[in-house]
Amino acid sequence: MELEKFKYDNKIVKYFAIATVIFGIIGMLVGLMIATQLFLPQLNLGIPYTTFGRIRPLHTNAVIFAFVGNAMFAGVYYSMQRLLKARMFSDTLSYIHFWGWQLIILAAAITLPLGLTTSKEYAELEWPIDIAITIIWVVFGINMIGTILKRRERHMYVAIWFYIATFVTVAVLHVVNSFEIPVTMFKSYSWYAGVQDALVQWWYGHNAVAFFLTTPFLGLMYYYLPKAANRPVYSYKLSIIHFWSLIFIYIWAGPHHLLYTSLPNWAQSLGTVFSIMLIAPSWGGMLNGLLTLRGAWDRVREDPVLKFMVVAVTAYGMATLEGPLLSIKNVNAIAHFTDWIIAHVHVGGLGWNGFMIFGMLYWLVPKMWGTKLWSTKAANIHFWLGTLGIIVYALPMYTAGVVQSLMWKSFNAEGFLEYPNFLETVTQIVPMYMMRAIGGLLYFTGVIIMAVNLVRTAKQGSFKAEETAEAPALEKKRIVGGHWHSRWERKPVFFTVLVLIAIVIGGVVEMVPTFLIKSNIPTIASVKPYTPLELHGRDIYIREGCNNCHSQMVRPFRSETERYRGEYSKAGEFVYDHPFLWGSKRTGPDLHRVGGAYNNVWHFNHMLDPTSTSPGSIMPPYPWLFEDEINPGLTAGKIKALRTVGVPYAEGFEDVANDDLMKQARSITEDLKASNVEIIETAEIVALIAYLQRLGTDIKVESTNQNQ
Amino acid sequence: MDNNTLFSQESMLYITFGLVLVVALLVLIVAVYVLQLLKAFIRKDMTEEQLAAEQMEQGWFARLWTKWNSFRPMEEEEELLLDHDYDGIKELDNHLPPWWKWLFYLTIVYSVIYLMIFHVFKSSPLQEEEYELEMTAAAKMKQVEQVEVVYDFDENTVTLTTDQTELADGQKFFATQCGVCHKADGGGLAGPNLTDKYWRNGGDITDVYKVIKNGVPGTAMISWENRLNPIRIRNVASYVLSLQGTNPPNALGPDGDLYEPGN
Repeated sequence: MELEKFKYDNKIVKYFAIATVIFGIIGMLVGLMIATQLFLPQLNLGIPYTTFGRIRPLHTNAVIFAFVGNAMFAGVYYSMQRLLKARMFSDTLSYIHFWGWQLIILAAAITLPLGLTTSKEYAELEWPIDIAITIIWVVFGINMIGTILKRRERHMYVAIWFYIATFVTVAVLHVVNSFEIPVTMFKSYSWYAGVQDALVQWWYGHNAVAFFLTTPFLGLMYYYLPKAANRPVYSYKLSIIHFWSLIFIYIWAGPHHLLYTSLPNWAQSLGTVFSIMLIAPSWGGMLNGLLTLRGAWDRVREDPVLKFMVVAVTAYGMATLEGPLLSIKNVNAIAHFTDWIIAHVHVGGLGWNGFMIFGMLYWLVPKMWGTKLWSTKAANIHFWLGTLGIIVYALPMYTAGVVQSLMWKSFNAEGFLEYPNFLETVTQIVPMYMMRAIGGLLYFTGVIIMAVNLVRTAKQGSFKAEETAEAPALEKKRIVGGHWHSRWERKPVFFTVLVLIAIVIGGVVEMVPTFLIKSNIPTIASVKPYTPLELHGRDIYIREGCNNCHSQMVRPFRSETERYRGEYSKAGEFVYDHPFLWGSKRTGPDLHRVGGAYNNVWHFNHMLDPTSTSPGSIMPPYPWLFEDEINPGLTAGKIKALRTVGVPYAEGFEDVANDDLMKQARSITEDLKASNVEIIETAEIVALIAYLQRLGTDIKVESTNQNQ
Repeated sequence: MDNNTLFSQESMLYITFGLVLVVALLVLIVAVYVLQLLKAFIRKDMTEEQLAAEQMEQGWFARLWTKWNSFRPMEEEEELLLDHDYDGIKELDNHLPPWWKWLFYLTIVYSVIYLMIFHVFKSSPLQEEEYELEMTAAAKMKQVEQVEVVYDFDENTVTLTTDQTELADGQKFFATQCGVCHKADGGGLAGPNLTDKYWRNGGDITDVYKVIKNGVPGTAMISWENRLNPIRIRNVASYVLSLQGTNPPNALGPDGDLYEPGN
């Protein structure tokens, strides 16, 4: 057999690695800022672009898609070429992928602070950027599949399986969840409404964790861990079983984000049981990683690369046990909407993703620059700072979550809420917020040390952009026999189709009935579409990211119907909500029954300075809502777009909608005037007040009718 | 009769204990693990003999771990090597760790039972029913409390109380519940100022009593009739009226009609 000579492209890996470090620093810096805002609201700076509601999505997008995303690509481009013994399919595609991805990140960094957002978590970017993401992701996919097809290695290694699953599933998730109807260049409404939108969003949100933060990193683990430890992978069989069970089961578990909401019970139960069944497949990955180190533990003591990876894999095991526990109804009833969830995701994010990335970079950079790590001591300091950072971050957040939740639920002997004032439960945990920021700072300091260490390492070595290798080409012959799975490993296209089937089943079973069977979302006759002014107000609510701190979902608990003074939320109430705004965290109180609970002037004062009505509040003020005006020119477009996705506005309503808008605005400004507050009708605050006063009130009309 | 324990509170207690246990367990696992790591790092300083001696006697956990995973001895590793080689990475043909396999089966069994209980036999309440049960239990407790008490006044005949313990009771209740909207000093926040002479619905004891008892439709003021017994309403109303003229700082301005006592 003739040996072919070819070159591995290291330059693309270098590009992605540099982007990883830069965006890691930026993303975590924004994280530190929002963490600080929670105990020092002044840090919202009184301007729109730096308020918590707008930059919390900036933090999540930056760390997930910029930091972890770039790291994933760096790791995949390096390992894939070597595992397949082939250069990347096309250099052009590689660099389109790189620059395209950075442009998307730049677009996110500009649009999110501007308040251009869809409000759907981890899918906040507006529709033109959604299209760009799709294109770039397909470029990545073509480049990957192309490389697999021209490989010089007969069988695909387990890391490649995980890369394939990542590509296929993220593509499906992103496209389905991003179905939206454009209103303007940077504004769209979700195609789905209410319960359905929530189901699609959390099918996406949960599996973004699964297929953007988990499967690619398992793939990376299967390459870098045995490489760094110089040990064989513990069990090929375990790889097979945990790979297929993981990707098949993961996709079903999305509804565990919606327990005790208006989602139909059967879907919730599926979310719970599939989460429980996910424990073993997840732990399979952890075990195969840890057991690969069997006989190499003496090296773990010496080598910072392995130390990072061991803690990463352990954090993965922790988070994937905790996740299923949080999916049990009783536990979820306590943990959901609290900081417990924040702790949970940061054990995964800082521990699993962060530490895997650090371990990988400490291994890759010396390798690619043909030198030794500049300082092993600095890497060890980074390791301890990082570990300590995670602990100091997570423990206060666990405490805060449990303490606040118990305060929310606590009744006194006479049957009254012990802490009827939500704010009391917030001020109680502010010290925890301070400690969390310290934990974040420790972790961040470690990352800075790493950046210096890596730069110094690069400086002392010399970068090899092209690395020569040789291998025989694959013979064009039919190979039969072998283990059933090894046969699949020889057929990449067939394998990809199998992956697609495995990940589609769960989503279809949960979504199709929810969309097609009426009984899943019982309609309520008195629930009507929003008025034009309320629509404008709702869009302001979305723009300011209110849903980042306020839920709109009163769960069926006595403690919630008491606190929020109304019925628990019903599925039929959300049928015109494009997008749904249930939220996932209560830093402030739930707002679904806020309509009519306060008078207009209260809202006016509260938005201008929250501490004037709620002393001690950590909510930022929104002074610009009092100066900026809504654009009635957009009303018709909004109404037409919503009619397209099924909201029953009468034909021609868009032509008279602004009359209705002005009428409603005037009634609010006149009411405000009675309280000695003057404001023009088109001020944004008027629209926001209109929306808030409408929230959750339609159902009250129904009950009044029934009483008659 | 000792019936102060609410169904929900009791179950809350169990849940809390369960949670604390889970968290404690997790913390314990992490602690043991970190200790192991630290121990491993300290071992660096051991001499060869010390290390060899330690390896001879395995701890109970190591023995259990070996057994549960049914590890093949390290010496036999060669036999397990698969003939693949991916960029230098080899794979072993170890079988699935038995405890892991049983864990997987267990979760599947759990899932089947879970779905049966909730959706086939329907023997456990789903969330709507769970809520009804919780509310019924709370209401039942209320009934027990209010059994067979006859009050010698109603909303039209109620009079101010000046009894200090009763006023203190009213104050305590006002501070925690009413204060959310009216501010603890009565100066008003979301709800109106209660310390001046301006009232939306009248400032006589019977007026205030009625507002608390029936609520004010169309506003945030809810009816407290089902939540408070008449004595308690009288205490709160009397306390509210005792705030007249206290002029707390940062109070809201006049709202409603001027009311002079005795009119």
